[in-house]
Amino acid sequence: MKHKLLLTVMTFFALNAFAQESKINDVNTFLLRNAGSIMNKENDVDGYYFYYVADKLKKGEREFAIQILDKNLVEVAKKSYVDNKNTFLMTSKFNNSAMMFAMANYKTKEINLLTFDKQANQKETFTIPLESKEIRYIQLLQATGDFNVLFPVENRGFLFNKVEDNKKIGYSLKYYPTDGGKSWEYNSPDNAKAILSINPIEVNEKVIVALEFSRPSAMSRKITINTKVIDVNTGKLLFEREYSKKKNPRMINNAFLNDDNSVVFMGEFFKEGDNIYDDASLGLFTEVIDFTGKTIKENLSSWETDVAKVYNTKAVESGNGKKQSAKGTSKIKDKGYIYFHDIVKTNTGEYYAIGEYYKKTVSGAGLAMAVLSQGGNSVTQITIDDAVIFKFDADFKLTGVTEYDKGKSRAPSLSDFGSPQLNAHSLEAFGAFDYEYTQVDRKNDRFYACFIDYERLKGEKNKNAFKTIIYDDGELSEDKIYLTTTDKNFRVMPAKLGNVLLVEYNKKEKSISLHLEKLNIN
Amino acid sequence: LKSYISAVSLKKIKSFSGSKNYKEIQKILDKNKVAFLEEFADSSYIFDKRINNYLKTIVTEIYKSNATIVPTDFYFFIDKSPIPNAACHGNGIFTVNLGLFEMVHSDDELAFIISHELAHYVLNHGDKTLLSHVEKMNSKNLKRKVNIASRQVYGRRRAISELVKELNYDALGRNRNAEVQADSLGFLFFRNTKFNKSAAVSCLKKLDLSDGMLFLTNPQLKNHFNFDGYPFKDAWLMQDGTLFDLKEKSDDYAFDKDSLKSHPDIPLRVAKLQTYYNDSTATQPSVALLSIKKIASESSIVISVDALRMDLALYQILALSERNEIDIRSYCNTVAGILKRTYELKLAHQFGKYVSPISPFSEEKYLNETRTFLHNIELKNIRKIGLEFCLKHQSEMNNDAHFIATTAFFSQLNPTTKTK
Repeated sequence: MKHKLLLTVMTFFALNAFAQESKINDVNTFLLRNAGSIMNKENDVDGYYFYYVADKLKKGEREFAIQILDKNLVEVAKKSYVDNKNTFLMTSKFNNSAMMFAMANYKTKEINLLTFDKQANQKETFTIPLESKEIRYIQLLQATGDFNVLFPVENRGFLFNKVEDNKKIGYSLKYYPTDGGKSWEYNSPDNAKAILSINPIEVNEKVIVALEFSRPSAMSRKITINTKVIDVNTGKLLFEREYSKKKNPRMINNAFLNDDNSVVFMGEFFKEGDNIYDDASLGLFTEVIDFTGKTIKENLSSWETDVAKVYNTKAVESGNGKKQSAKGTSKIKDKGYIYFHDIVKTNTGEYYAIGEYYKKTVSGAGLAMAVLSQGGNSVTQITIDDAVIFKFDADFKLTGVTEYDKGKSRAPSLSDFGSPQLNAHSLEAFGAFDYEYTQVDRKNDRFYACFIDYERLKGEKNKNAFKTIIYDDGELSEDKIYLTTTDKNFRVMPAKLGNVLLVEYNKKEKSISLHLEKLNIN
Repeated sequence: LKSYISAVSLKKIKSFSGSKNYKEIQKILDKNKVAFLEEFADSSYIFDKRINNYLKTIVTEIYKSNATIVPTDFYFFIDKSPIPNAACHGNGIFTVNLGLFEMVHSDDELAFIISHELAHYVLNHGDKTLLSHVEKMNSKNLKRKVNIASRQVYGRRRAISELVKELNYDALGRNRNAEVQADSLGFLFFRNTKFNKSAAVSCLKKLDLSDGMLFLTNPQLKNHFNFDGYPFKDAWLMQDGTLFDLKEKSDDYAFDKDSLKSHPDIPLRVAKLQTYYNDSTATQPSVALLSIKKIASESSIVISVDALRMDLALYQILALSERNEIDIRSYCNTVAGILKRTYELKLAHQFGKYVSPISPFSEEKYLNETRTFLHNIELKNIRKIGLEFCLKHQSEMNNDAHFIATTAFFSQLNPTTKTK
């Protein structure tokens, strides 16, 4: 509450009472080009940025304004930045002692990395020349939500993940220190015969864990995942572990680093020879590997035995308080498949896998369209059903399953002939699932798994609801925010840990207000 | 009062008839009238006979001692704002903020502030500022400058921004002069009254410290919300990490702050006033003022609660309690009520809409601490804090139906804890 006492004569002047004022207001404005949140790997929001065009300058340049809001929506900086008119703000990250913005430009074929120190002073700018195509690839990968263009290394620097368009597509992971340290880069081999991409997913003061994806061609479904552990100080590869069709096929959902110099991988495992994008997985796994690449511990939990056992012993709970089928039959069979979005390890050593049931069904509309287009349209669709949380103990033994009722939502199948898994993976990249994101609060040993559900309500209009499954004190609970009321519409965006940013539109007043709200643990 | 507002506004508009820029002036004054009526309809003002009567005694004394003031069509509205301020609207309407009653130390200080506002009216500052603004906006020079700037192909916004800066500095300079003049004439009015003359300087000095003067009482949150059955958690006062280590916003587009700061107006005004009178006899609050301060504080809490400003309300009630200025029944009912309302707002995901986020630049340490506490506590915490608070004060509030109802509300939320 800033206030200056004036004890004054009140002089209010109507806006636009004069042609001059109207002219001034028209010109003295900043045009918003784009905006986004500054998120860390736990999906915790450090702040928000708004990127404006402030002025037209000579030689095709523009003055841009970068407005930075902190996690509580308080404006903390507004910085002027001059660059070519086609420059856009790709992403921004914060490493706790510096902030980095990736400014891209198709025309000048470069990405400029701007850094700001803790006093909001602009520091060194790194210019990375790259082809327009490469910028576009980065954007496409970024749009999937599973690709880190910029990855902060706490208090030390940032990783920039560059796509290299050589004969095949490769990558270059470059480290830019902000603490005076040395920079390095880790590149895919120039002579690689496959399309390669990399995604850093975890980092500490010693190592970076990154997943390298490799496929023979752009359309190929033969994917090999190489997990790479790289020395954060030198960029040298410490070890890698290949999960391919022939050798231990696995889908990595998450990884994290232990204090004892080991890394834990979590995800789904498959039958030898199976394709992770085409075939049904056999179950879920965790694997602990030390920094020499040796597996210390491995736990598998199979659908057939371990999971079915839990279902058959009626250990399936309903998070919505409704009773499950007394028959105790496996719901997975009834509901089709589960798509796991994330696996979280709690401070007590338990694991929680967050997923959604989905099924391939025949769509009436798709069928009609197929007839009209003489078979050109797909007749099947993916039906997305309830959310489900699998709980595992420290030995990765499944100890419980909790299901959360969700309305069925349908997405068109991308192909009638592809497997449901392939469709699910593709749809996940398009954001067709109801799942939004999971925030992990390590300090309070909590996680927040967020979904958007279309609720079909008896006797009233159906509504979209933002639902969050919250883990706290060893318990799971659910919070819900309806996105429509009689006089208001809401949009929910990620915010600081345990909160959401509500964008509230008042239909009557035609006004928008932004406010942060805590998610409620009941 | 609506008719009064319309009538004085119309009279003011008519007073400009025949002037060069009448239509534009009319447009501005009409808009001001609508804005004031909207504020009026929006319950921005409080009508309390006790406050009005007290203010009337001060104002009457000034009128009585100054025959040059003709108080025709004058009306003093009490604005609900907790910010200590007063204003002259130039048409007979004056506003005095509720927060001003809490800030002033004596009748004398309030009398000087009112004298200052009356001087603005007598000196016709509202009309002069309006005319000056209209003339400036219609001047050939400005029109030419705006046209040149807006026709620029490159750097157009910056050129216009420079013009806006120039206009702002110009207005600022005019306002400073007007304030100094109002101090001088206001002091002449004030000198004729029975009030202690040294209050003028002391009052202005307070204004200089205004930002740091508010919210000075430590609300001692821990003392109020630490219970045997549910101890206070330090994490409730934990603030979020910040992106930057800054004392103020880093703004490349801000107007030159140094230029503004190089002419600090209040010290200048104090120095000027001291040339008229430089005695510093201590002033004392009257019994009437003490009573009005209490009413203002309590009303201010009710207003904050009604506006769902739970942070302000909680700070105000705890500060009163710390200063022993509130009776136990009001304290218990208000605090329990704030906890209940906070719970309901959080449950409906609406709390953040009404309670401001914590600004890293705010200097209001204790208000921020209260705000942080309210933002950080979760439903499960409020359920327990609410019940523990009610149980702690149960014996003192035995027959209070309102408190019993709030206790029942929290008991219901804590089914396993039984009330005594």
